[in-house]
Parts: sequence; C-alpha cells; structure tokens
Amino acid sequence: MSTVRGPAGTTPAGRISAVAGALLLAAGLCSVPVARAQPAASSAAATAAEPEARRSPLEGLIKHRASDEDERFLPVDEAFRVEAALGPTGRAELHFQVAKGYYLYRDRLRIVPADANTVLGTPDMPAGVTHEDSYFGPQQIYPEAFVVSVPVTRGSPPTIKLTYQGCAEAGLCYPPQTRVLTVGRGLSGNTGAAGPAGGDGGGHSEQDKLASLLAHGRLWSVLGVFFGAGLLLAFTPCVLPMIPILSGIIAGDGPATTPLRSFLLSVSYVLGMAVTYTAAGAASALLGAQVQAVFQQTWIVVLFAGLFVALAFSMFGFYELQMPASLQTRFASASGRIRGGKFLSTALIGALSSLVVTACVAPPLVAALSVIAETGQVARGASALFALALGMGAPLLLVGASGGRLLPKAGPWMVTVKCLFGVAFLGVAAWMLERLLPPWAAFLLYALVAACLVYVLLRVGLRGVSASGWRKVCAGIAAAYAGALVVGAASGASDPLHPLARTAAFGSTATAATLEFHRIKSLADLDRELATAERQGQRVMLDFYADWCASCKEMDRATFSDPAVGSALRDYRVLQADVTANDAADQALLRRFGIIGPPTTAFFSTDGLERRDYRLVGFKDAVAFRAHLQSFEAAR
Amino acid sequence: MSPALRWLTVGLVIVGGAVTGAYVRDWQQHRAAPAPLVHELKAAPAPGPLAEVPARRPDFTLSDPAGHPHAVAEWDGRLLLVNFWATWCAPCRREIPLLNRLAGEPAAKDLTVLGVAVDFPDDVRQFLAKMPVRYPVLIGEQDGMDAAAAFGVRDMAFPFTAFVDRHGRVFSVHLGELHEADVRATLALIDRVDAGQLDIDAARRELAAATAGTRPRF
Repeated sequence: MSTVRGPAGTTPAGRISAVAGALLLAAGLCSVPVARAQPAASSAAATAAEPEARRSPLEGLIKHRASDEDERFLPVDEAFRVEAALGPTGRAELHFQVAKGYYLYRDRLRIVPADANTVLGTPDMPAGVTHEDSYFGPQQIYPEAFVVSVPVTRGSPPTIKLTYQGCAEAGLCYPPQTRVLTVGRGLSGNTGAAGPAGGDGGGHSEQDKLASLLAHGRLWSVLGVFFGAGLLLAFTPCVLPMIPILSGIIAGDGPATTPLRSFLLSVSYVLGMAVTYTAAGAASALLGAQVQAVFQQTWIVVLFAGLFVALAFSMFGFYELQMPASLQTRFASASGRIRGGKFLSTALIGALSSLVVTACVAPPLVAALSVIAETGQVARGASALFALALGMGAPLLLVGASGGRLLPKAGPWMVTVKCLFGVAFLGVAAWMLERLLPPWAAFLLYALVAACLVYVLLRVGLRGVSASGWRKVCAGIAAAYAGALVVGAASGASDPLHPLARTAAFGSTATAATLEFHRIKSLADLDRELATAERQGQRVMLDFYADWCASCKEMDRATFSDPAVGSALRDYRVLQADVTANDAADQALLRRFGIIGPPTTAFFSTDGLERRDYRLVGFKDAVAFRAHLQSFEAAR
Repeated sequence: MSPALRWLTVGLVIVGGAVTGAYVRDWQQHRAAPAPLVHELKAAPAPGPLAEVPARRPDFTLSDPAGHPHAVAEWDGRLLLVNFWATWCAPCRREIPLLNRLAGEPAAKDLTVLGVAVDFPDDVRQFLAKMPVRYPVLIGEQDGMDAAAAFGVRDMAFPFTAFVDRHGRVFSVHLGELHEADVRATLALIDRVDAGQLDIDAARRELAAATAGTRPRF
C-alpha cells in the first residue's frame, strides 16, 4: 500500500469519510431524484420547460436556473458504477466502472463488512496508474474499469460497505461515497435504470426471473405470465381445497340455481379471494409484516373450521344458514331483493379462504412481494398479484359454470349431493384442524369424516330403497379407509394418505432412506450448524417448514421421503427450521434471509455462503428437486 | 338489473378504482426515474449537480482558522467570490494561485475572495501552514455543506464557486475548476451590472455565450 502523507500523520481518507457520511446524510435527506436534463441539443428546451413544471410561480420570480452547469459533469453515480458479484470459491468481486475522463483513488477505497454476520478477508486491489499529486505526492489512481476481489469468510448473504472517492480530470472532485452492496444477487445500489437488472448471477432462480420480468417487462406480458403461474398453482395442495369449498356453496344454493347464477356465485367467490389476496399481499410487502402467519393463529383456524362445520350441518338440512335478519333487511332494501346477500357472503368466504387456506409461498408470490417492497411499484406488483389470484381462481370459474348444469335440480338425488358436499366441508374443517392437532387426533378426525361419508352413502336420500351397488362399493372403500386411519392413529403413522406406513414397515427390514433433518430454532443454532458443515466440507440445505403450510407437507410426503432425493442429499448437512410458531426466533431467521414464508429451501456452498440464486420457493417434486440439486452442485 | 350483476358491478368498480388510483400514484412517482430493481439501496440519489440558484446571497456564519466566527454579511457591499474547496481536492488546490492573484490585484480593491473549506479544521490549518493563501478562509463541516447547498449545490462536489454582486445578488455559480478567462469575464460583467450599464439577466446571457465554447463536455 502506498502511503498518503496525511497532515497529522493520519490517512486523510478515514477522516474524509467521516465528513462524507454527514454530507451524504444531508444529500439523502434533502434531495429527490428528478429527471436529468437532456444532453446538448435539447438543453434549452429542458432548461426552460422542466423547472416550470415543478416550480411555484413565486419561485419563478425569485430564482434563476444555473446555466448549463448540469451538463458539464456527470452525477457521481454515472461517473462511477459498482456492482457486486459472487466470485469463485467464496470470494466477492466488486466490479467498478469508471467513466472516461474520471478516476478513483486506490488509497481512498475502503471495503468493510456492512453487517455483523459478514466476515471479510483482505481485499485484493489491483495496481493502479501512478498520478503525481502536488500535495499528497504520488497517488495510485484507477482511470478505467477494475475489479477488486474480497475473500468472504462468512455471510449469508454477505453485505459489503464500500467507500470510494474520485475526481474528474476536467477539475471536479466528488466527496467520498459510501455504498452498501449485497453479494449474491448481482444487483447493486446504483446500477440505475440503465443497468441490466437481473443480469449476471441475478436471474437464476424462478422468483428472481419473475421479479425481473415484473419490474421491467411489458405490463400485458407480466399479467399473462402471472395469470399462467396462477393456473399452475391452482392444482397444488395450497389451492385445491377451494374447489370443494366452492362446489359446496353452489350445491347448497338451493332450488333457484341456474347455470348463470352458479357461475356468478363462483365469480363472487373468485373476486373475493383475488381482491383479498392482492390487498393482503401488497399490505404485507409494504408493512414488512407476516400476514400469512398472522392468519394461522389457533383461534382463526378454529373459527374457520367451525364455519365449515356449520356449513356442513346446513347442507345436511339441520337448519338453513342465513344472515341475521337485520342485515337481510338492509340488503333487501339496498338491492330490492333478498338474494343479493348470497353473493356478498360467497365473496366473504372467498376472502377468508384466500387468507386461511392458500397459506403457501410460491415463486410468483415472492417475486411480486419483493418488487413491491424493494422498488415501490405497488400498482404493478398488485396487478401481478391480482392476475396470479385470477389464474388460481380460473378453474373455480369452470366449476361454477359447469356446476349449475351438472347438479340435479331437486329430488332425492339433490339431497344426497348436498350431503356429500356437507361431508366435503367436514373434510375441509378436518384439514384445517390437522395443522393444530397431533397426528393421531387428526387421523381420528379424518376417520370420523370417512364414517360420515359411509353413513351418507348408505342411508341418505334412499326413501326406503336399498343402496345401489356403486354406493355400497364407495361406502366399503370409505369404511376401509376409516379403519386404516384408526389403525394408523394407534401405530403412530404421520401421513393420512398412507395410514398404514408404520404397520407395513414392521414386515420389511429395508426401510426407505429417510432424510435426517437437523432441527434449528435460532440464529445461533444456524451459525453453529453452518460452522460444523464448513469444517466437514459439507454443503448445507436449510428448509423452512410450518405445520399450516400445505405445500411443506406435500414436500415432506413426496420429495424429502423419496429415496433418490435422500441419497442425493447424502453429503449435505440438512437443516430444517420449523416456523409454525412464528415467534421472535422464527421471525429473526426469516428476516436474516429475507424469506417471506415457507416452503422455502436455501442452499449453502461448502464455504458456508448461501447461494441465493439457488433458493427454492414453493413445492418441487422429487424429480425437479434432484435436477435442482445437480445444477446447484455444477455451479461454481 | 339482477342483484348478482349489481354486486358484480359494484365489486368491479371498486377494484377498478383502486387499481387506477394505484397506477396514477405509481406513474407520478416513477415518471421521473423508474425505480431500478435493487436489493439494497442505501446510496444518495443521483440528480444533476446543481439545483436552482437563489436570487440573493444566503446568510451563513463560519469560523476562521483561529476559531473566530464570521458572518458573510461582513463583506456586504463588496463584489464577493465565494470559493468552496477541500484540502483533499486536487483541482481546488490548483485554483489557489489564481485566487491569490485576484485577491492581491490593486484593480480589484472592492473584490473579496472568500474561501470556504469544507473539511476538518486541523487538516485546513496544516494545509494553510504550508501553502500561502492570501484571502480570508472560513472552515465548515456540516455547516460548510449547508452553506454550499444554500447556493444551489445539490450533488456535492468541489470546487464550487459563487459570484455575488455588490447588491448581494447571486450573479452566477460555477461547479468545477475555475479558469482565469472565465473568472475575469464574469467579474467584468458584474462590474458593468453594478455600474448600471447592463441588466443582470442580459449579463448572465452574455456570460453563458462567452463561456459556452470553453467548457469541456463529456
């Protein structure tokens, strides 16, 4: 390092940066970004027109515009650009671009960790060009692009604070600039609108690609892509339960149902769901709150399950579920007819469903929320969320359109169908409660629902005639399933779809290679596990899980229990954070990684750094998961 | 209209209104500078270097190297060249010989060159001990920045010079290293304005025309 003859024996850079901090604070507080005047030719027009638009008439009288000074020198962030990227073997690379005619001082470059979790080694700065300074003596300067490589000992993701100072050869010096960069996303603090966002390293993961599209793509293609993504999500366990809910509402609508009416009911449901999904998503992104987890509190889940039990009983014909009379009259006077209220209540159930049922995180959701939170493009993000929710709801509209046609109008059949949907409501209620209950209790609940199904099949709507053959077959299957569930509850099985898994395992000695998760709860646990993995040269997988997350359970069931996935993860240290409780420790873990919620799986290379571009969000089946592992291992 | 359609219409109108409102808001916020997709944005914004220049000289009081406070009003009635600089800024230091000459010329008897060092006082005192500066220097840190900002600098950079006429009006400001011809042209125009020979706006236009060709562009 070449010496700087600092006046008091100190290096001036350190002292300068203290002033600079204050300067930047001042600049940050008082100025707002404004459109830059166009260069050269249009400068007169820009000078004349632009200030007038923002100035009050009074200001116009007392101020005059600085001539063409604005165009002589580049703003500091155009003179010097810096981007951070993850380099090979645990190094961060800082890519500096220096405009022609400008230079940075090598000795005034400071690179330090920006947070307590990041540990950096000594930066490797290239030699510069020697420049004679009349006061400080020979100085090393960088008049062109250069790369500084910094060893990253720890950080997830590493954040780097750098301070740099430079001048224009034509005679202007900028005060020291301080920037905080996060390594691993390939995106930096000052790439500006012209920078290729999501360029190198930034756009690998599905959510990052979607976020980049959302922030920069054409609106119609954004909406199309998010609608399509919603369609794909509609058939995941997060959205699927909405189909029996909506079908039940339509079936329970009564004898006046027409195809149009049932379609409009489904439109109400989908709109209620989509508007709530959009509003809750935008609000959580703006407030930084965990709306998703908030709606998984015990009393809300119990209340919602209770609502479905009440709906089921109404389907069984025990009573008519109606709004309170006072509300009914209000709606009656408002709409002239009483039946409008049905649409409102359907929309409300749709709204509640979106909050309580669809509590899963998927790549398009993460993309939309991060764009809202990070760029403030609320309308764009919210439109994308709305398109996503409409995509998820599109199959429901099909249900509504066909439901009115397929359902019988009246008669004994109608009674049976209504009761079957009542059983489906009971199933939804049991599914809601499953997240709160120990497995054996959930098994018994499901067994109870299956028993109700047997009863409906054999007894309801028969008018003394004995049950037909298919009814008997279905009832037999339901009864067998109920029996299996009871056995499963007793044997300690955990998956209601495979209640006899434990029982069957008694017979065979070769049990599948089950994945051994190391449970972590706190940041300290995580750091300890990461340190252990680093010592042993292991890669690390960290899975975020919650009991209320349907996709997480699906991942456990279909992906993590797959023997091929188990053997592919043999050399990994496999961690799991259960964030069901959503307490302070859980929130700290989620915040550290900027994770919106489960299911999210983070991957760390052997140097203990999270490769954010390989983060998985949402459900992935065993095949896709193994392909992801292979591409992660093939990466640098 | 059936109640179903009525509810549907009400719902759509509400959603449409909300979406339209949000877009109008976003458009207003982003038409100037579309937000880049960044993960962490801790940087100061990057606008053009100069905002509007005030009509009248701002008031500020700063200390001299000996620690005595001075208000800029002390030099009222004189032609004032306020030069913001720093010891670590090479182009600023290059200007000092020119400013020394201007301050020492007998012809410029009612011209005051006022140096405002935006720097640490110790560094400035060390510098003044080695380099002769023959005009008054005041020192400011944050308050020095505030004074420069009051003259219309938004994106702080040095050197920055403001010319104030004998009536306290800010005639012009200059960002970057001063060139002798430009400075002399500016001072001559201010003399003519203060003598009542020229309107101030006409003088500014003349200055812009005279200096346009000499300035480097990038």
